[in-house]
Amino acid sequence: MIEFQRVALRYDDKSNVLKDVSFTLNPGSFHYLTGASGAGKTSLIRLLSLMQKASAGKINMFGTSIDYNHRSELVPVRRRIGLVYQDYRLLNHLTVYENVALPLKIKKLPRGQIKEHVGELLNWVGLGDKINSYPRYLSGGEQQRVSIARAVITQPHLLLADEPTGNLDNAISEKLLKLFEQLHRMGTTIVMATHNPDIIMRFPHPQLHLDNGILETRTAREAVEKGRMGTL
Amino acid sequence: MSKKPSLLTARQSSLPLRNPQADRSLMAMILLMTFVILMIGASSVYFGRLAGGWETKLSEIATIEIQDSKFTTKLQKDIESFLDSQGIVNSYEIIPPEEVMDAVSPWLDIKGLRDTDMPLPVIINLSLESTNKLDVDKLAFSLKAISEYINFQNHQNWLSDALKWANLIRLLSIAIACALLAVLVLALSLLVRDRVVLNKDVIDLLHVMGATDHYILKEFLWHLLAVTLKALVLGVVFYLLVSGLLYSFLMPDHDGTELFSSMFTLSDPYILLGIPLLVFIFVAVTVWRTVIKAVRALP
Repeated sequence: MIEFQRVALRYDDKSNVLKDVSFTLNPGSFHYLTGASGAGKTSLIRLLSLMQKASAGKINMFGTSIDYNHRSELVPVRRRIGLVYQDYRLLNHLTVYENVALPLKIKKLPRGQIKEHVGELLNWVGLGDKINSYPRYLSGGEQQRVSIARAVITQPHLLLADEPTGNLDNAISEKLLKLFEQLHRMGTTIVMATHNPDIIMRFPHPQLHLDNGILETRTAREAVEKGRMGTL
Repeated sequence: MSKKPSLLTARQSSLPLRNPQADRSLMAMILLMTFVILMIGASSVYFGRLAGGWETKLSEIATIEIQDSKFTTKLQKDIESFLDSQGIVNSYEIIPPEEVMDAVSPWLDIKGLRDTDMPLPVIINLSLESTNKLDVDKLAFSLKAISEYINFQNHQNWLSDALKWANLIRLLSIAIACALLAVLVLALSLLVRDRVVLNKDVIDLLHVMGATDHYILKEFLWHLLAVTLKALVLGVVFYLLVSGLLYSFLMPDHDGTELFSSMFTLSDPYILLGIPLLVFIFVAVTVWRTVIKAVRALP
């Protein structure tokens, strides 16, 4: 379970990016994170992925109270999180195989096991034939699939996706969403930031909506209604 | 396709740390520092040994010098019987005129000179039991009493000056070497901090994947120590070549074998191994401290 209690985020220029944000994510849930540009979606993703320290409030993830003063305690929590970026963030000096294997290498898994897992996963995302390619030789959709494979290779409890379809066309976006749906059915908690109403209507899920740093939670039906009205 | 790493950096780093231009600059800096510190270290050891040699070889040796024209058989007998009776004198030897000639001719830049061509002093070398100043002064005084033409020298005056200078040079060398190491540490920490900032996004990504600070540190250490190792090997080779060349210029009469052996005798193994090891440790500690400090500043 993931719990945010009255969390606030303020940057050095003192502007409040997130104000008094409270919510709970149950295991296996799927939430969209919506809001206009600058509403604080990426900031919330950064807080959830433990890349950003909150200015106020309490965060509890998987039974651990998040405290940046105890860095070593953050490591096991981070290992239960997968993150997919809009711009993929693949390491261009590594092959597709090495990129996907990286989280397992960090976890010090034996080489044989890594090879087996990576092979299986790349076949699942349909990139079994690109194992030795370098990211710059792949299309946007292929790069995003590598990024998803890297995020889920450790079978994370929480998968965060920051506008993963932002740079992709509709057909490829739909394929990616189907991958996310499969992961959701396997019990992964998913938070996906998006501003694409078509996706929300096509694959309905509850919504965390940010407006000027204030969070509003919506059911799947409310989310679809808002999507239909074009007022995400 | 991306170029595969070289043998020494065969381990593929998670961080894109391979930057040929920056790596070459770092290598050049460490190579030059190592070379200069090796030169300084070797000269310091050389001076130390030279001074030590003078001290042990010359402090228990004294010389009696008498003008040739004043050196009569009677005076020789008087000196010999006097020296035989002195407990402070271990042994003595009257140096044959040819040896005296051989000894002075290189200084005068003359060859094939006969002892009749030039007035040379009679030299008697003494090996002393004690270097006690009182005993030595007493001996000098007694010799002067035998003949006013006896000139007694025990090397102590000039030796202490020479030792002072040799020690000063050694201290200066150590100070310069320390200053160079400080510059290396400073430059390296700036360079490492730059690389941490440059790779901040990738470090963030690795942190999100659950990498510990020590995992990131290892990535930096592996890469930078591989570059350092290459630079150290090249630095030592460069030093051996330059010291060999210097030796060949300073001692042009020596043959190739001597030149080769001199490169190693000049290069004390402690210096050849110790200084690169010291530089390696300094680099490792600097990288360690800088990376950990910079990475811990990130969330």
